[in-house]
Amino acid sequence: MQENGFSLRDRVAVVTGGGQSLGLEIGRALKAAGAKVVVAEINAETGGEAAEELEGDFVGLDVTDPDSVKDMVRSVLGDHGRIDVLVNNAGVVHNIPSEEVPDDEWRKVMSVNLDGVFYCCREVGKAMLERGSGAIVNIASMSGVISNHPQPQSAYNASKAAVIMLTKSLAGEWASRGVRVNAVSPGYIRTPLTELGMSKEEWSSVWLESTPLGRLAEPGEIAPAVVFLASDAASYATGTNLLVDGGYTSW
Amino acid sequence: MAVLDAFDLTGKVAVVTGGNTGLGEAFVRALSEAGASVAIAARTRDRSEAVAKDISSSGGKAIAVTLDVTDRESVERMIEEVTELLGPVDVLVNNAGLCYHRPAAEVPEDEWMDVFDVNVHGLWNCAQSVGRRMIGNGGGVIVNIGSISAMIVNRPQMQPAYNASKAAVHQLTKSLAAEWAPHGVRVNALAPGYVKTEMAPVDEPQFRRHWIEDVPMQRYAMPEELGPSLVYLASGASAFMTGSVLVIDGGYTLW
Repeated sequence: MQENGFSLRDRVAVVTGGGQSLGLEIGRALKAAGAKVVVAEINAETGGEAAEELEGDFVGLDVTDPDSVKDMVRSVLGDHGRIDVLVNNAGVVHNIPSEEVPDDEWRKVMSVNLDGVFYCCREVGKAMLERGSGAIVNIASMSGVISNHPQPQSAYNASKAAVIMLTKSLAGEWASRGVRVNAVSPGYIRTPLTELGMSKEEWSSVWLESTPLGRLAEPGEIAPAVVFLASDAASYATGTNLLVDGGYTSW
Repeated sequence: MAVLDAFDLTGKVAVVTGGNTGLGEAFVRALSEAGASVAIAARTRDRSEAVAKDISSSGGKAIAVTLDVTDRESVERMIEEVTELLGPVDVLVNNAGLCYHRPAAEVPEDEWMDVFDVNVHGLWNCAQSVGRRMIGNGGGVIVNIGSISAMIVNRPQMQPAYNASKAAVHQLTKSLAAEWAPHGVRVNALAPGYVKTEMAPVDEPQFRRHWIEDVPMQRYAMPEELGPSLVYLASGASAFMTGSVLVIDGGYTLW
């Protein structure tokens, strides 16, 4: 039988923040598509559990620390000799009115959501460029395209817009050297990041009312987009931002 | 292999307008490989039948139906024929389109009308007629073939009507997506860059500077490379996606 074009058979895939929620669902989908999954995660407990479930590896990773990123890459290359797929999924959000955001909160969001994506792209990218092939999928957000409401989250929104542009920048630089870089921008997903908002009627009513499909996505509905962009099925796609938002940005 | 099953289209009925050549033919073949029964809807029936026969001989299911997208009666007849032969339409791919290269000041009236008749009014005819039935059937998926020309201006060739028509397609995609989301009808667009087809003579030397060198990947796409993107949009793999434009352009629009 002909190989499924979306297959990731025998590919080595690293998922940052892969221990829970969307990251775990992405890991499950990559594994189901045939990949060997490396769960790169700051939380050893959830990371270890996820790796066990996925019959993959756990590697401790603090994306905000360049040395930790380098260690992670060394470790994966030591075990597998290559990284075919990198999914930059680790991210954080706070909901603080901008005029009250403390410096350290701003820095925290930027360091995880932006610096972390860059460090991982840079270090994994080096290994991919050396082999002349690889696919990077950055988890951005519709928040990089529209500004969410009613909750305040300016740091998150700015960081995700930056991730989308970083994606395009790296895609342009590396396209002719075999490394594709794309982004997936989800709308509201049922994850711990949205749990607080869904418990507040004044937030959740706006979220649902502003989404044409009238519901949140399940994490498993975002994962196929990642599999698509990570696979050879997307061989001519680079620098693309794939919005999976239930229609949110149409309104 | 649960996630790969999400891309499966077994048992689905798909219609591809302009499906007997170029990208359309590649879409037909990709949908068929993913398991769908496919109606090749185009003006030139002979060519559609040749493609359908080829697909049938390799184990797929495809039929040829005559369609002039600019004629509403033809659209209605096409839908009746497909429904009778294959079943209700689950997936509509609005692919039929045409393009003229001509500086704006020299575009004759009939050329301008021709482009909008096919690329916009024809797409509307199909989307509305099929969409009505999808709403009645509780859902469906529409994929409109847009273009990077909706987002940037191509060069060196001038093609003002095409560019404007594709921008209309992208925004109509969002309008229908928002309106029909509560009815279970998802509407998305696929926006390719330069693909080797009759419409885009990518090998001609005068186009190399812009069509190839302006592409970060430094190459054009083969039609088959766009097939999987269409399958992603047509299948349950994109269940939460509607109103999106999927750009597959080798990086063209990022520079």
